[in-house]
Amino acid sequence: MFRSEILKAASLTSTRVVFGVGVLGLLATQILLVTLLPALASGALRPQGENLGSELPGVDLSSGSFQYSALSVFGDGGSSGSLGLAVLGALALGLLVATTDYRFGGIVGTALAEPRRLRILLDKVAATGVFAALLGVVYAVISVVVVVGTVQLSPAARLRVSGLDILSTSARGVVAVVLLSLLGLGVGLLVRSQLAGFLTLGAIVVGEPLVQGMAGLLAGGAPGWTQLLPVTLSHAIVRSFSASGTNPGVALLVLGVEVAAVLAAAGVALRRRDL
Amino acid sequence: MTTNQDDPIAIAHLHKEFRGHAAVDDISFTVPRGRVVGLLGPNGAGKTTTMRMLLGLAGITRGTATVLGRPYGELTSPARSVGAVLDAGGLHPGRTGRQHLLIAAAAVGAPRSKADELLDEVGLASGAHRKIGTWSLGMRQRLALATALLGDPRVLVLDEPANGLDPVGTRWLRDRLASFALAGDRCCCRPTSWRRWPRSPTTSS
Repeated sequence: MFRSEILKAASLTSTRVVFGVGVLGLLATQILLVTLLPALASGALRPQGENLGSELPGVDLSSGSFQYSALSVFGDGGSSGSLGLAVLGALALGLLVATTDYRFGGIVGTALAEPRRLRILLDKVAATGVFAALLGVVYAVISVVVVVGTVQLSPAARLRVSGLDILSTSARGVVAVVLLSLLGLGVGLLVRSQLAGFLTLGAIVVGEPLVQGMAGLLAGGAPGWTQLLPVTLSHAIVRSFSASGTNPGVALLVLGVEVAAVLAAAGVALRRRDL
Repeated sequence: MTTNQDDPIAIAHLHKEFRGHAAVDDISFTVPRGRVVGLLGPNGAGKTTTMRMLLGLAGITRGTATVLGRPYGELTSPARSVGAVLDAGGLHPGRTGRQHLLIAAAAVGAPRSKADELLDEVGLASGAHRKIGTWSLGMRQRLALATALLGDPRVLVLDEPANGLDPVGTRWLRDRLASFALAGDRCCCRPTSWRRWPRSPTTSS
């Protein structure tokens, strides 16, 4: 059954589109944030060599913290809650694995071959995990190549992150991508419709910064619970252990619990509903 | 109608409610070995819902539905016991016919060669690498039947299998199902809203 789910996802055009959009989106974002902005800040791209560093605070390719945050698989330069195409790609991957099966009736054939609904859920989780891990690895390679390549080509900068840091950030990034895809899978199994699924995910990712902003305004600061929302947590997972905010280990644990809760609800729905 | 629990398909006092509305009300019948049985009734009579309950796809409000003496969900190897075609087979228009069969073969644990063998048997070998979205309804029905046969089942359950088939295709399907039912101790149940096959070893319930 697992092999069947792998073949299903591999034969879908939507899987390839998600990979394409996520990868190209991340590449464009990384080049903008890691290559172009530092070049603008240093004046390398200005005709008169004008330095825009004062207008682009924090954009310093030679700093270790900038290089570390630029390794993020989400191409957000380490800013929490940033919504990029890489995040959308990860969420959409899982959503489409679930909802395509409902849209075209493939779930019926699956349930005929394997009547145990929990087993169906586990096979979908495993297959989605494999594709999401692959997507995460591609994301990580792009992020690392752009950061290392840009630093190597910049005469004023040298690499300040260790190989271990690169490996650790990339590995945590892959896990974050897998968790986001599984969140998408859970939402897809719960709502079943592709349109409803995308609207739900849209509400989650767009609503998150809105909720954080409103909570901040009302409370006069950022309440702790606003850092426990899924997209924010996924960014916290890839952040440096020394950075302020939620610890990456705690973020991984909390997001894992949230995804498990959504998948458990999806499992109950899958078991109870008629197909 | 009396039921015999030894028959491959046995449905007794089956009842299904959707939000207080009875979609199926106290249906009982059996399908004996070696027979092709048509379940006749107008649209909305509950034929498809009955098949869905039989196959474990829909919950049963009251009554029992067994295949080979057990509820579908308790069969040890369901796809090798029962082949089914519902909703035109759950075909994704973006996949090729061969891709669809390979996915189904992986799900039921059948070898890849079985998929090619069945494509040839249902007359779809030449179009197997075309996307299903470009296929006629008749071709889709043939592919759906091939999918149902992947596990070499003892029982076939087909929902409106002749939809979209031309007279030649209908005759082919009728003969195919008759030979299926007569080979060994097999049987076939096919809900349909109209009796379309006048000459075949069938029983209508």
